[in-house]
Amino acid sequence: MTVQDFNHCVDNYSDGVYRFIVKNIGHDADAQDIVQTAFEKLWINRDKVETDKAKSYLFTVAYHQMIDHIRKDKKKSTTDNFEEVKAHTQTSNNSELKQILLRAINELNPTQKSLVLLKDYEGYSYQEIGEIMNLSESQVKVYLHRARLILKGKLIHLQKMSA
Amino acid sequence: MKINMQNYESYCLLYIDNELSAADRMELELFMQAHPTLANEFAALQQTVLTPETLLFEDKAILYRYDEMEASLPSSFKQSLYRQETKVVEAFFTNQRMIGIASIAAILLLLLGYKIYFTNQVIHKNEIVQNDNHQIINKKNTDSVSAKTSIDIENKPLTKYKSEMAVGVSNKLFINEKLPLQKEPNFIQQETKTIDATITTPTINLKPIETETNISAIAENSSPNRTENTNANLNNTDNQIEEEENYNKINTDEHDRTIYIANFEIDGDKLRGISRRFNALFKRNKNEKQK
Repeated sequence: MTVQDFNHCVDNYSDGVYRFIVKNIGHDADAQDIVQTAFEKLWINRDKVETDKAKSYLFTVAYHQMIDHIRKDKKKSTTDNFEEVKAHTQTSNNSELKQILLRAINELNPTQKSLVLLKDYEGYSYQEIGEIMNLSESQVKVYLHRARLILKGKLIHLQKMSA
Repeated sequence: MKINMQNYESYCLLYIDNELSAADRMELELFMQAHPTLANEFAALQQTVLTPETLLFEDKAILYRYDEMEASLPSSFKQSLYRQETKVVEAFFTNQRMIGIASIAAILLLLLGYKIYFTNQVIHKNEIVQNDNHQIINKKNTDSVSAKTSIDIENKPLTKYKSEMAVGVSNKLFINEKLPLQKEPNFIQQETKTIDATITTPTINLKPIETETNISAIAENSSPNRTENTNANLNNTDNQIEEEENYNKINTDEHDRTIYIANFEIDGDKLRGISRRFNALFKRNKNEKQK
């Protein structure tokens, strides 16, 4: 991987990695540190990593860094995470359904949340998600379907509560 | 048809995850149109899908890399900067080694002293034996001389006898070593005088233990009959003296066993005792090991 290829990866994948991490942990500064660490490792291993595998490599490194960060810092509450996420959201979609869904996602466990985010935001297949999260394809399928059903139940419940 | 009431939910989940083929997607859409009661459930599952948000990583500049960052020093210059650890030379004379060397030196000194002590003893014994032999030879010489003089006294003139007796006296004096050699001429003169006196007044005295009496006895025995008896007596008495002297000088118990190593004075008896104890200790250790 040349310097140009690396800088191209920065342009194309840094926002996605940052979004994935900040949606998971909800803390901007920590998310930036994790992204920086992921790109630092990519730079160190640029001779081993192929350019077309750079995106999954970045997400893999960032995911494991995030897991380590979550294990070290479990004091953060889900409410705080939600507030942080809301502060960095630049979209104008402030619909009620969106807020309810974000709240429901924050109540999932980190694995389920990562599965949903990787699937919905990045569009990875089950196989790619399995490679990033070190899970089998069937595990990804089962865990993700379970997360969807949980989210569906929460949405129905919250919609009834709001109505 | 693959989709039915039992498996439609999993097909719906695969549909929203975009994991179905185009044919399966079409089949599920037809299934939902056929079962409008399941459409609300399918719509609820579709609501769980997040719409992508745009979040930007603002500090991309800290992530960029430049060619200058890859600049590196040539390997030859790097090698000139390397430092190697110098080997630490271990001290040869450590405490343990010094103790070992000192113990070996002490043992060698003990063995050397022991060896010197016994070689001195042997040399001393040999000297004593040589002196005794020399004494015996000299005494025999004197006896032969005295016998000669006693035999020749009858035939030889008195002046010649005097000279021969003087030689015998001088030999006897050399054996006794009681008188200094410087006084020998005077002594010889005195002895010659006594010989002169005894010759003029011949009296028989058959107990010649000392040299002077020997000479006088020899001189007195001017007659050939008496000379034989006196010679026999002289031989007997000489043998007795030799035995006594030999016995006295060979007895090594009275010798001083002090050993001198440089300025150190070591008692030989004690050293011998220590060496015996060492030997006994080594033998005991050897026996214990063999057991």
